[in-house]
Amino acid sequence: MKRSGLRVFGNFWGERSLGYSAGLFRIAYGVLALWASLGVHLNLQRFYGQEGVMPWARVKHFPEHVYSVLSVAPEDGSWLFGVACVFSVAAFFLTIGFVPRFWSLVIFAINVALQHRNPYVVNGGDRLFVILAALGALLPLGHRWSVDAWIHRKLGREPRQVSVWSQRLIGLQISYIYLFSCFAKLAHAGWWKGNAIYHVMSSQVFAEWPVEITIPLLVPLATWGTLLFEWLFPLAVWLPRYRPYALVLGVAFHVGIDVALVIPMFSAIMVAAYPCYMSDAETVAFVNILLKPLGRRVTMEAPAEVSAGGPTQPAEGPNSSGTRSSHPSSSGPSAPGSLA
Amino acid sequence: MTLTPSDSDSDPVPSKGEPPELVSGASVPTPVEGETAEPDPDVSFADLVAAFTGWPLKKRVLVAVAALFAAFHIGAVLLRGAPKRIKDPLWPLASWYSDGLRMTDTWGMFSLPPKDKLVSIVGIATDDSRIEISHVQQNERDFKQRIMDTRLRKIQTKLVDEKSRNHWGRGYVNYFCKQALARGVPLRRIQLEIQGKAGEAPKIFLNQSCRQNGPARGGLK
Repeated sequence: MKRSGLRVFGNFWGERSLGYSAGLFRIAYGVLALWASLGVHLNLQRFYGQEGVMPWARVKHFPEHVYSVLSVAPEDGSWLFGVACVFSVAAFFLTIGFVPRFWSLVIFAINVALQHRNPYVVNGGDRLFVILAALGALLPLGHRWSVDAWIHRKLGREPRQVSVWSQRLIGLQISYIYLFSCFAKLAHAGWWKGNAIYHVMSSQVFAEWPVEITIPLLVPLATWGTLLFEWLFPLAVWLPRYRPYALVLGVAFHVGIDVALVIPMFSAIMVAAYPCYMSDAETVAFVNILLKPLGRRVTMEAPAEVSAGGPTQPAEGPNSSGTRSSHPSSSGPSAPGSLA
Repeated sequence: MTLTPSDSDSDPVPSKGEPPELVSGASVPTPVEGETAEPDPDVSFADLVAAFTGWPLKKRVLVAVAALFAAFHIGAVLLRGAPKRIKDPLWPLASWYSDGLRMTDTWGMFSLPPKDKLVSIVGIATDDSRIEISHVQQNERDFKQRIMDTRLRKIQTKLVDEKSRNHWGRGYVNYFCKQALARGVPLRRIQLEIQGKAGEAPKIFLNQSCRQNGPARGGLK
Protein backbone atom coordinates (compact mmCIF):
# COMPACT_ATOMS: atom_id res chain seq x y z
CA MET A 1 0.00 0.00 0.00
CA LYS A 2 1.37 3.43 -0.89
CA ARG A 3 2.16 5.80 1.93
CA SER A 4 -0.61 8.23 0.97
CA GLY A 5 -2.96 5.28 0.85
CA LEU A 6 -1.99 4.34 4.37
CA ARG A 7 -2.70 7.87 5.48
CA VAL A 8 -6.15 7.89 3.89
CA PHE A 9 -6.81 4.46 5.39
CA GLY A 10 -5.71 5.62 8.83
CA ASN A 11 -7.77 8.78 8.67
CA PHE A 12 -10.81 6.93 7.38
CA TRP A 13 -10.97 4.61 10.37
CA GLY A 14 -9.26 6.79 12.95
CA GLU A 15 -11.13 10.07 12.54
CA ARG A 16 -12.35 11.46 15.86
CA SER A 17 -15.87 12.43 16.68
CA LEU A 18 -17.73 14.05 19.56
CA GLY A 19 -20.70 11.77 18.93
CA TYR A 20 -23.19 14.17 17.33
CA SER A 21 -23.73 11.97 14.29
CA ALA A 22 -24.04 8.91 16.50
CA GLY A 23 -26.56 10.80 18.61
CA LEU A 24 -28.71 11.63 15.63
CA PHE A 25 -28.47 8.03 14.43
CA ARG A 26 -29.51 6.85 17.89
CA ILE A 27 -32.63 9.01 17.92
CA ALA A 28 -33.64 8.02 14.38
CA TYR A 29 -33.00 4.35 15.04
CA GLY A 30 -34.70 4.51 18.44
CA VAL A 31 -37.89 6.01 17.01
CA LEU A 32 -37.88 3.31 14.36
CA ALA A 33 -37.36 0.68 17.05
CA LEU A 34 -40.36 2.03 18.94
CA TRP A 35 -42.41 1.76 15.77
CA ALA A 36 -41.12 -1.76 15.16
CA SER A 37 -41.96 -2.79 18.72
CA LEU A 38 -45.50 -1.50 18.21
CA GLY A 39 -45.74 -3.72 15.13
CA VAL A 40 -44.49 -6.69 17.16
CA HIS A 41 -47.08 -6.10 19.89
CA LEU A 42 -49.89 -5.80 17.37
CA ASN A 43 -48.91 -9.12 15.83
CA LEU A 44 -47.44 -10.87 18.84
CA GLN A 45 -49.75 -13.86 19.02
CA ARG A 46 -50.50 -13.99 15.32
CA PHE A 47 -46.91 -14.17 14.08
CA TYR A 48 -44.98 -15.48 17.08
CA GLY A 49 -47.45 -17.15 19.44
CA GLN A 50 -48.11 -20.83 19.84
CA GLU A 51 -51.69 -20.28 18.67
CA GLY A 52 -50.63 -18.10 15.75
CA VAL A 53 -49.84 -18.78 12.11
CA MET A 54 -46.51 -20.41 12.92
CA PRO A 55 -46.70 -22.88 15.81
CA TRP A 56 -43.37 -23.70 17.43
CA ALA A 57 -43.48 -27.23 16.06
CA ARG A 58 -43.06 -25.85 12.54
CA VAL A 59 -39.81 -24.03 13.26
CA LYS A 60 -38.25 -25.84 16.21
CA HIS A 61 -35.91 -27.84 14.00
CA PHE A 62 -33.95 -24.74 12.93
CA PRO A 63 -30.47 -24.99 14.46
CA GLU A 64 -30.26 -21.20 14.82
CA HIS A 65 -32.56 -21.24 17.84
CA VAL A 66 -29.44 -21.61 19.93
CA TYR A 67 -29.06 -17.85 19.42
CA SER A 68 -32.66 -17.07 20.35
CA VAL A 69 -33.86 -15.92 23.76
CA LEU A 70 -37.33 -17.11 22.80
CA SER A 71 -36.13 -20.70 22.67
CA VAL A 72 -35.80 -20.60 26.48
CA ALA A 73 -39.57 -21.09 26.71
CA PRO A 74 -40.79 -21.25 23.14
CA GLU A 75 -44.37 -22.23 23.86
CA ASP A 76 -44.89 -19.89 26.80
CA GLY A 77 -47.03 -16.91 25.87
CA SER A 78 -46.00 -14.99 28.99
CA TRP A 79 -42.32 -15.27 28.11
CA LEU A 80 -43.08 -14.06 24.59
CA PHE A 81 -45.04 -11.12 25.93
CA GLY A 82 -42.25 -10.31 28.38
CA VAL A 83 -39.65 -10.32 25.61
CA ALA A 84 -41.84 -8.05 23.50
CA CYS A 85 -42.23 -5.65 26.44
CA VAL A 86 -38.46 -5.59 26.94
CA PHE A 87 -38.16 -4.70 23.26
CA SER A 88 -40.41 -1.67 23.82
CA VAL A 89 -38.52 -0.66 26.96
CA ALA A 90 -35.20 -1.02 25.15
CA ALA A 91 -36.45 1.09 22.24
CA PHE A 92 -37.59 3.79 24.64
CA PHE A 93 -34.33 3.92 26.60
CA LEU A 94 -32.33 3.84 23.39
CA THR A 95 -34.27 6.79 22.02
CA ILE A 96 -33.74 8.93 25.10
CA GLY A 97 -30.15 7.77 25.40
CA PHE A 98 -30.04 6.06 28.77
CA VAL A 99 -27.27 3.44 28.60
CA PRO A 100 -28.09 3.25 24.89
CA ARG A 101 -25.37 0.83 23.83
CA PHE A 102 -26.69 -1.79 26.22
CA TRP A 103 -30.26 -1.31 25.00
CA SER A 104 -29.08 -1.49 21.42
CA LEU A 105 -27.66 -4.92 22.15
CA VAL A 106 -30.93 -5.91 23.81
CA ILE A 107 -32.83 -4.86 20.68
CA PHE A 108 -30.39 -6.89 18.62
CA ALA A 109 -30.86 -10.03 20.73
CA ILE A 110 -34.65 -9.76 20.78
CA ASN A 111 -34.96 -9.19 17.06
CA VAL A 112 -32.64 -12.08 16.28
CA ALA A 113 -34.97 -14.21 18.39
CA LEU A 114 -38.12 -12.92 16.72
CA GLN A 115 -36.66 -13.50 13.26
CA HIS A 116 -35.76 -17.08 14.12
CA ARG A 117 -39.18 -17.64 15.65
CA ASN A 118 -40.90 -16.67 12.41
CA PRO A 119 -38.45 -16.19 9.57
CA TYR A 120 -41.23 -16.04 6.99
CA VAL A 121 -42.33 -12.49 7.84
CA VAL A 122 -38.83 -11.06 7.63
CA ASN A 123 -37.58 -8.91 4.77
CA GLY A 124 -34.31 -7.17 3.97
CA GLY A 125 -35.22 -4.14 6.04
CA ASP A 126 -35.64 -6.30 9.13
CA ARG A 127 -32.26 -7.88 8.51
CA LEU A 128 -30.68 -4.45 8.27
CA PHE A 129 -32.52 -3.42 11.45
CA VAL A 130 -30.76 -6.24 13.31
CA ILE A 131 -27.38 -5.53 11.73
CA LEU A 132 -27.56 -1.86 12.69
CA ALA A 133 -28.59 -2.71 16.25
CA ALA A 134 -25.41 -4.75 16.64
CA LEU A 135 -23.09 -2.30 14.87
CA GLY A 136 -24.84 0.65 16.54
CA ALA A 137 -23.89 -0.71 19.94
CA LEU A 138 -20.29 0.07 19.00
CA LEU A 139 -21.05 3.76 18.39
CA PRO A 140 -20.81 6.50 21.02
CA LEU A 141 -24.60 6.56 21.13
CA GLY A 142 -24.92 8.33 24.44
CA HIS A 143 -22.44 11.16 23.99
CA ARG A 144 -24.93 13.71 22.69
CA TRP A 145 -28.59 14.60 23.10
CA SER A 146 -29.09 11.87 25.67
CA VAL A 147 -29.78 11.20 29.32
CA ASP A 148 -26.24 9.87 29.59
CA ALA A 149 -24.85 13.17 28.30
CA TRP A 150 -27.02 15.08 30.76
CA ILE A 151 -25.71 12.94 33.64
CA HIS A 152 -22.13 13.47 32.47
CA ARG A 153 -22.65 17.21 32.41
CA LYS A 154 -24.07 17.13 35.92
CA LEU A 155 -21.00 15.22 37.04
CA GLY A 156 -18.79 17.84 35.39
CA ARG A 157 -17.27 15.48 32.86
CA GLU A 158 -15.81 16.96 29.70
CA PRO A 159 -17.07 15.98 26.24
CA ARG A 160 -14.94 13.19 24.84
CA GLN A 161 -13.74 12.40 21.36
CA VAL A 162 -13.80 8.83 20.16
CA SER A 163 -12.84 7.05 16.97
CA VAL A 164 -15.53 6.74 14.33
CA TRP A 165 -14.46 3.28 13.20
CA SER A 166 -17.86 1.75 13.92
CA GLN A 167 -19.61 4.64 12.19
CA ARG A 168 -17.51 3.85 9.13
CA LEU A 169 -18.55 0.22 9.35
CA ILE A 170 -22.21 1.22 9.16
CA GLY A 171 -21.47 3.60 6.28
CA LEU A 172 -19.72 0.83 4.38
CA GLN A 173 -22.60 -1.53 5.11
CA ILE A 174 -25.13 0.87 3.61
CA SER A 175 -22.91 1.59 0.61
CA TYR A 176 -22.50 -2.13 0.03
CA ILE A 177 -26.28 -2.58 -0.02
CA TYR A 178 -26.67 -0.01 -2.79
CA LEU A 179 -23.77 -1.40 -4.81
CA PHE A 180 -24.88 -5.01 -4.41
CA SER A 181 -28.39 -4.06 -5.44
CA CYS A 182 -27.08 -2.17 -8.47
CA PHE A 183 -24.85 -4.97 -9.71
CA ALA A 184 -27.53 -7.60 -9.08
CA LYS A 185 -29.88 -5.55 -11.25
CA LEU A 186 -27.29 -5.15 -13.98
CA ALA A 187 -27.25 -8.92 -14.37
CA HIS A 188 -30.80 -8.89 -15.69
CA ALA A 189 -32.02 -7.67 -19.05
CA GLY A 190 -35.00 -5.67 -17.82
CA TRP A 191 -32.73 -3.18 -16.15
CA TRP A 192 -30.55 -2.80 -19.23
CA LYS A 193 -33.54 -2.42 -21.50
CA GLY A 194 -35.12 0.10 -19.18
CA ASN A 195 -38.44 -1.63 -18.48
CA ALA A 196 -37.84 -3.18 -15.04
CA ILE A 197 -39.71 -0.45 -13.15
CA TYR A 198 -42.79 -1.21 -15.24
CA HIS A 199 -42.94 -4.71 -13.77
CA VAL A 200 -42.30 -3.48 -10.23
CA MET A 201 -44.97 -0.80 -10.38
CA SER A 202 -47.54 -3.14 -11.89
CA SER A 203 -46.93 -5.86 -9.30
CA GLN A 204 -50.09 -6.53 -7.35
CA VAL A 205 -48.01 -7.69 -4.44
CA PHE A 206 -45.29 -5.07 -4.19
CA ALA A 207 -46.94 -1.93 -5.51
CA GLU A 208 -49.09 0.13 -3.18
CA TRP A 209 -51.23 1.15 -6.15
CA PRO A 210 -50.50 -1.33 -8.93
CA VAL A 211 -50.42 0.58 -12.19
CA GLU A 212 -49.21 -0.11 -15.69
CA ILE A 213 -47.19 2.96 -16.50
CA THR A 214 -47.71 4.00 -20.10
CA ILE A 215 -46.21 7.49 -20.06
CA PRO A 216 -43.40 7.52 -22.63
CA LEU A 217 -39.87 7.76 -21.24
CA LEU A 218 -41.03 7.58 -17.61
CA VAL A 219 -40.31 3.88 -17.22
CA PRO A 220 -36.81 3.91 -18.75
CA LEU A 221 -35.92 7.09 -16.89
CA ALA A 222 -37.06 5.61 -13.57
CA THR A 223 -35.28 2.31 -14.32
CA TRP A 224 -31.96 3.81 -15.33
CA GLY A 225 -32.28 6.53 -12.70
CA THR A 226 -32.52 3.84 -10.03
CA LEU A 227 -29.38 2.17 -11.34
CA LEU A 228 -27.55 5.46 -11.55
CA PHE A 229 -28.50 6.39 -8.00
CA GLU A 230 -27.51 3.02 -6.57
CA TRP A 231 -24.18 3.22 -8.33
CA LEU A 232 -23.32 6.86 -7.61
CA PHE A 233 -24.60 7.24 -4.05
CA PRO A 234 -22.03 4.91 -2.45
CA LEU A 235 -19.24 6.91 -4.11
CA ALA A 236 -20.57 10.45 -3.76
CA VAL A 237 -21.59 10.16 -0.14
CA TRP A 238 -17.97 9.79 1.00
CA LEU A 239 -16.96 13.06 -0.64
CA PRO A 240 -17.88 16.03 1.56
CA ARG A 241 -18.56 18.23 -1.46
CA TYR A 242 -21.20 15.89 -2.87
CA ARG A 243 -22.46 14.39 0.40
CA PRO A 244 -25.41 16.76 0.99
CA TYR A 245 -26.71 16.16 -2.53
CA ALA A 246 -26.29 12.41 -2.19
CA LEU A 247 -28.12 12.33 1.14
CA VAL A 248 -31.00 14.52 -0.07
CA LEU A 249 -31.34 12.36 -3.18
CA GLY A 250 -31.20 9.26 -1.01
CA VAL A 251 -34.01 10.50 1.21
CA ALA A 252 -36.11 11.34 -1.87
CA PHE A 253 -35.34 7.92 -3.36
CA HIS A 254 -36.47 6.10 -0.23
CA VAL A 255 -39.54 8.25 0.31
CA GLY A 256 -40.49 7.32 -3.25
CA ILE A 257 -39.99 3.62 -2.52
CA ASP A 258 -41.95 3.84 0.71
CA VAL A 259 -44.88 5.61 -0.90
CA ALA A 260 -45.02 3.50 -4.04
CA LEU A 261 -44.17 0.05 -2.72
CA VAL A 262 -45.17 -2.15 0.20
CA ILE A 263 -41.81 -2.90 1.75
CA PRO A 264 -41.94 -2.45 5.50
CA MET A 265 -38.95 -1.06 7.33
CA PHE A 266 -36.39 -1.01 4.51
CA SER A 267 -36.53 2.63 3.42
CA ALA A 268 -36.85 3.92 6.96
CA ILE A 269 -33.87 1.99 8.26
CA MET A 270 -31.71 3.03 5.31
CA VAL A 271 -32.47 6.71 5.93
CA ALA A 272 -32.02 6.29 9.68
CA ALA A 273 -28.46 5.14 8.99
CA TYR A 274 -27.58 8.24 6.95
CA PRO A 275 -26.24 10.24 9.94
CA CYS A 276 -23.38 7.74 10.05
CA TYR A 277 -22.06 9.34 6.86
CA MET A 278 -22.11 12.82 8.35
CA SER A 279 -19.46 14.69 10.28
CA ASP A 280 -20.31 16.23 13.62
CA ALA A 281 -20.38 19.67 12.03
CA GLU A 282 -22.71 18.51 9.27
CA THR A 283 -24.99 16.85 11.78
CA VAL A 284 -25.24 19.94 13.96
CA ALA A 285 -25.89 22.10 10.89
CA PHE A 286 -28.62 19.70 9.77
CA VAL A 287 -30.23 19.63 13.21
CA ASN A 288 -30.22 23.42 13.24
CA ILE A 289 -32.10 23.42 9.95
CA LEU A 290 -34.71 21.17 11.55
CA LEU A 291 -34.89 23.36 14.65
CA LYS A 292 -35.06 26.65 12.79
CA PRO A 293 -38.89 26.78 12.63
CA LEU A 294 -38.92 26.36 16.41
CA GLY A 295 -36.53 29.25 16.86
CA ARG A 296 -33.96 27.03 18.55
CA ARG A 297 -30.47 25.91 17.68
CA VAL A 298 -27.79 23.64 19.04
CA THR A 299 -24.12 24.45 19.30
CA MET A 300 -21.23 22.10 18.95
CA GLU A 301 -19.13 21.70 22.04
CA ALA A 302 -15.41 21.30 21.80
CA PRO A 303 -13.50 18.64 23.70
CA ALA A 304 -11.33 19.81 26.56
CA GLU A 305 -8.16 19.05 24.64
CA VAL A 306 -9.25 21.08 21.67
CA SER A 307 -10.24 24.09 23.70
CA ALA A 308 -6.72 24.03 25.08
CA GLY A 309 -5.41 24.79 21.63
CA GLY A 310 -5.39 21.54 19.69
CA PRO A 311 -5.36 21.17 15.97
CA THR A 312 -9.13 21.41 15.61
CA GLN A 313 -9.30 24.74 17.39
CA PRO A 314 -12.66 26.32 16.62
CA ALA A 315 -12.90 29.67 14.93
CA GLU A 316 -14.33 31.21 18.05
CA GLY A 317 -12.60 30.57 21.32
CA PRO A 318 -14.08 28.57 24.13
CA ASN A 319 -16.09 30.29 26.79
CA SER A 320 -15.45 29.92 30.47
CA SER A 321 -17.13 26.54 30.61
CA GLY A 322 -15.00 25.15 27.85
CA THR A 323 -17.73 25.18 25.26
CA ARG A 324 -18.07 27.31 22.19
CA SER A 325 -20.90 28.83 20.34
CA SER A 326 -19.66 29.29 16.82
CA HIS A 327 -21.65 28.01 13.86
CA PRO A 328 -20.56 24.44 13.49
CA SER A 329 -20.55 24.36 9.76
CA SER A 330 -18.02 27.16 9.53
CA SER A 331 -15.26 25.23 11.26
CA GLY A 332 -14.84 22.30 13.58
CA PRO A 333 -13.59 18.81 12.96
CA SER A 334 -12.91 17.73 9.45
CA ALA A 335 -15.60 15.88 7.61
CA PRO A 336 -15.27 12.18 8.23
CA GLY A 337 -15.08 9.74 5.47
CA SER A 338 -13.30 12.06 3.19
CA LEU A 339 -11.48 10.10 0.59
CA ALA A 340 -10.73 13.19 -1.39
CA MET B 1 7.78 10.20 14.10
CA THR B 2 6.70 10.03 17.70
CA LEU B 3 3.21 8.93 18.54
CA THR B 4 1.94 9.66 21.99
CA PRO B 5 0.27 6.85 23.89
CA SER B 6 -3.21 7.84 24.84
CA ASP B 7 -6.32 6.63 26.49
CA SER B 8 -8.76 5.05 24.06
CA ASP B 9 -11.47 7.55 24.92
CA SER B 10 -9.50 10.73 24.95
CA ASP B 11 -7.87 12.67 22.21
CA PRO B 12 -4.19 13.31 22.70
CA VAL B 13 -2.89 16.77 22.05
CA PRO B 14 0.16 16.60 19.85
CA SER B 15 3.15 18.61 20.94
CA LYS B 16 4.03 21.60 18.87
CA GLY B 17 5.49 20.56 15.56
CA GLU B 18 4.65 16.92 16.13
CA PRO B 19 2.48 15.13 13.62
CA PRO B 20 -0.78 13.76 14.94
CA GLU B 21 -1.70 10.13 15.39
CA LEU B 22 -2.96 8.34 12.36
CA VAL B 23 -4.74 5.24 13.48
CA SER B 24 -7.40 5.33 16.16
CA GLY B 25 -5.83 8.48 17.42
CA ALA B 26 -6.30 12.05 16.40
CA SER B 27 -7.31 12.68 12.85
CA VAL B 28 -5.32 14.71 10.47
CA PRO B 29 -6.54 18.19 11.32
CA THR B 30 -8.40 20.30 8.88
CA PRO B 31 -6.87 23.74 8.95
CA VAL B 32 -9.06 26.50 10.27
CA GLU B 33 -10.30 28.73 7.50
CA GLY B 34 -7.71 31.27 6.55
CA GLU B 35 -4.79 29.13 7.63
CA THR B 36 -2.49 27.40 5.22
CA ALA B 37 -2.43 23.65 5.34
CA GLU B 38 0.92 22.05 5.93
CA PRO B 39 1.87 19.31 3.48
CA ASP B 40 0.95 15.86 4.72
CA PRO B 41 3.89 13.97 6.14
CA ASP B 42 4.56 10.58 4.62
CA VAL B 43 3.36 7.60 6.62
CA SER B 44 4.88 4.18 6.35
CA PHE B 45 3.67 0.87 7.60
CA ALA B 46 6.53 0.93 10.09
CA ASP B 47 5.15 4.21 11.49
CA LEU B 48 1.80 2.57 12.07
CA VAL B 49 3.40 -0.42 13.78
CA ALA B 50 5.51 1.92 15.91
CA ALA B 51 2.40 3.87 16.88
CA PHE B 52 0.57 0.70 17.77
CA THR B 53 3.34 -0.74 19.91
CA GLY B 54 3.74 2.57 21.71
CA TRP B 55 0.20 2.53 23.05
CA PRO B 56 -0.78 1.19 26.47
CA LEU B 57 -1.76 -2.46 26.55
CA LYS B 58 -5.46 -1.72 27.09
CA LYS B 59 -5.64 0.49 24.03
CA ARG B 60 -3.69 -1.99 21.93
CA VAL B 61 -6.10 -4.74 22.85
CA LEU B 62 -9.14 -2.56 22.13
CA VAL B 63 -7.82 -1.44 18.77
CA ALA B 64 -6.82 -4.99 17.82
CA VAL B 65 -10.24 -6.37 18.77
CA ALA B 66 -12.01 -3.58 16.88
CA ALA B 67 -9.84 -4.13 13.80
CA LEU B 68 -10.40 -7.87 13.87
CA PHE B 69 -14.14 -7.45 14.27
CA ALA B 70 -14.32 -4.92 11.42
CA ALA B 71 -12.29 -7.22 9.19
CA PHE B 72 -14.46 -10.21 10.08
CA HIS B 73 -17.71 -8.34 9.52
CA ILE B 74 -16.60 -7.00 6.15
CA GLY B 75 -15.35 -10.45 5.20
CA ALA B 76 -18.64 -12.08 6.18
CA VAL B 77 -20.65 -9.46 4.29
CA LEU B 78 -18.59 -9.97 1.14
CA LEU B 79 -18.68 -13.74 1.50
CA ARG B 80 -22.47 -13.74 1.71
CA GLY B 81 -22.73 -12.10 -1.67
CA ALA B 82 -19.83 -13.97 -3.26
CA PRO B 83 -20.23 -16.56 -6.04
CA LYS B 84 -21.08 -20.05 -4.84
CA ARG B 85 -17.67 -21.53 -5.62
CA ILE B 86 -16.02 -19.00 -3.31
CA LYS B 87 -18.74 -18.93 -0.70
CA ASP B 88 -19.32 -22.62 -0.10
CA PRO B 89 -15.88 -23.66 1.17
CA LEU B 90 -15.67 -20.71 3.56
CA TRP B 91 -19.29 -20.57 4.66
CA PRO B 92 -18.87 -22.75 7.79
CA LEU B 93 -16.60 -20.05 9.20
CA ALA B 94 -19.25 -17.36 8.86
CA SER B 95 -22.61 -19.12 9.01
CA TRP B 96 -22.96 -18.72 12.79
CA TYR B 97 -22.53 -14.99 12.31
CA SER B 98 -24.50 -14.61 9.09
CA ASP B 99 -27.41 -16.96 9.70
CA GLY B 100 -27.26 -17.48 13.45
CA LEU B 101 -26.88 -13.84 14.42
CA ARG B 102 -28.40 -12.64 11.14
CA MET B 103 -25.61 -10.16 10.55
CA THR B 104 -25.40 -10.41 6.77
CA ASP B 105 -27.77 -10.70 3.86
CA THR B 106 -27.91 -10.35 0.10
CA TRP B 107 -29.50 -7.26 -1.35
CA GLY B 108 -30.57 -8.10 -4.86
CA MET B 109 -34.10 -6.85 -4.38
CA PHE B 110 -36.13 -6.38 -7.56
CA SER B 111 -33.25 -7.48 -9.77
CA LEU B 112 -35.68 -9.96 -11.32
CA PRO B 113 -39.23 -8.92 -12.27
CA PRO B 114 -41.53 -9.64 -9.30
CA LYS B 115 -43.24 -13.00 -9.75
CA ASP B 116 -45.06 -13.17 -6.44
CA LYS B 117 -48.76 -13.72 -6.84
CA LEU B 118 -51.46 -12.00 -4.89
CA VAL B 119 -52.67 -14.59 -2.40
CA SER B 120 -55.96 -14.27 -0.56
CA ILE B 121 -57.38 -16.38 2.22
CA VAL B 122 -61.07 -16.99 1.75
CA GLY B 123 -63.33 -18.65 4.28
CA ILE B 124 -66.30 -20.71 3.16
CA ALA B 125 -69.03 -20.40 5.76
CA THR B 126 -71.46 -23.14 6.69
CA ASP B 127 -74.03 -21.57 4.32
CA ASP B 128 -71.45 -21.67 1.50
CA SER B 129 -70.97 -17.90 1.48
CA ARG B 130 -67.48 -16.57 0.81
CA ILE B 131 -65.75 -14.47 3.46
CA GLU B 132 -62.56 -12.66 2.51
CA ILE B 133 -60.31 -13.18 5.53
CA SER B 134 -56.80 -12.17 4.71
CA HIS B 135 -55.97 -10.16 1.68
CA VAL B 136 -52.57 -8.73 0.92
CA GLN B 137 -53.61 -5.71 -1.12
CA GLN B 138 -52.52 -3.06 1.34
CA ASN B 139 -54.30 -0.05 -0.14
CA GLU B 140 -57.71 -1.60 0.50
CA ARG B 141 -57.34 -1.51 4.28
CA ASP B 142 -57.75 1.06 7.01
CA PHE B 143 -54.65 2.52 8.64
CA LYS B 144 -54.50 0.24 11.70
CA GLN B 145 -55.05 -2.85 9.62
CA ARG B 146 -52.34 -1.73 7.21
CA ILE B 147 -49.86 -1.45 10.07
CA MET B 148 -50.84 -4.86 11.37
CA ASP B 149 -50.86 -6.60 8.04
CA THR B 150 -47.81 -5.02 6.47
CA ARG B 151 -45.88 -8.30 6.74
CA LEU B 152 -48.68 -10.59 5.67
CA ARG B 153 -47.71 -10.24 2.03
CA LYS B 154 -44.34 -11.76 2.71
CA ILE B 155 -45.56 -14.83 4.53
CA GLN B 156 -48.71 -15.36 2.51
CA THR B 157 -47.08 -15.21 -0.90
CA LYS B 158 -44.60 -17.86 0.25
CA LEU B 159 -47.49 -20.29 0.37
CA VAL B 160 -47.47 -20.41 -3.41
CA ASP B 161 -44.30 -22.44 -3.03
CA GLU B 162 -45.27 -26.08 -2.60
CA LYS B 163 -42.47 -26.90 -0.20
CA SER B 164 -43.44 -24.08 2.17
CA ARG B 165 -47.10 -24.97 1.80
CA ASN B 166 -46.47 -28.58 2.76
CA HIS B 167 -44.29 -27.54 5.67
CA TRP B 168 -46.41 -24.94 7.42
CA GLY B 169 -49.40 -24.17 5.16
CA ARG B 170 -51.90 -26.13 7.22
CA GLY B 171 -50.83 -24.56 10.48
CA TYR B 172 -51.12 -21.17 8.85
CA VAL B 173 -54.65 -21.81 7.63
CA ASN B 174 -55.64 -23.39 10.94
CA TYR B 175 -55.01 -20.07 12.62
CA PHE B 176 -57.72 -18.45 10.52
CA CYS B 177 -60.14 -21.28 11.23
CA LYS B 178 -59.65 -20.73 14.96
CA GLN B 179 -59.89 -16.96 14.62
CA ALA B 180 -63.17 -17.19 12.75
CA LEU B 181 -64.57 -19.59 15.32
CA ALA B 182 -63.52 -17.29 18.17
CA ARG B 183 -65.41 -14.47 16.46
CA GLY B 184 -68.52 -16.54 16.21
CA VAL B 185 -68.26 -17.17 12.48
CA PRO B 186 -67.63 -20.90 12.16
CA LEU B 187 -66.20 -21.81 8.79
CA ARG B 188 -66.59 -24.99 6.87
CA ARG B 189 -63.30 -24.63 5.12
CA ILE B 190 -60.57 -22.23 4.12
CA GLN B 191 -59.26 -21.65 0.62
CA LEU B 192 -56.01 -20.05 -0.41
CA GLU B 193 -56.49 -18.35 -3.75
CA ILE B 194 -54.17 -16.74 -6.25
CA GLN B 195 -55.77 -13.72 -7.81
CA GLY B 196 -55.86 -13.84 -11.58
CA LYS B 197 -56.00 -10.97 -14.02
CA ALA B 198 -59.10 -8.82 -14.22
CA GLY B 199 -62.04 -10.94 -15.28
CA GLU B 200 -60.33 -14.22 -14.49
CA ALA B 201 -61.50 -16.46 -11.67
CA PRO B 202 -59.04 -16.89 -8.79
CA LYS B 203 -57.10 -20.12 -8.72
CA ILE B 204 -57.55 -22.20 -5.57
CA PHE B 205 -54.29 -23.81 -4.55
CA LEU B 206 -55.10 -24.95 -1.02
CA ASN B 207 -58.43 -26.10 0.29
CA GLN B 208 -58.63 -27.19 3.89
CA SER B 209 -61.52 -28.04 6.12
CA CYS B 210 -61.95 -26.25 9.43
CA ARG B 211 -62.69 -28.68 12.21
CA GLN B 212 -63.89 -27.19 15.42
CA ASN B 213 -62.12 -29.80 17.49
CA GLY B 214 -58.51 -30.74 17.06
CA PRO B 215 -56.26 -29.94 14.18
CA ALA B 216 -57.88 -29.23 10.87
CA ARG B 217 -57.29 -31.59 8.03
CA GLY B 218 -57.52 -31.00 4.39
CA GLY B 219 -55.99 -31.69 1.06
CA LEU B 220 -53.76 -29.73 -1.18
CA LYS B 221 -54.91 -29.22 -4.68
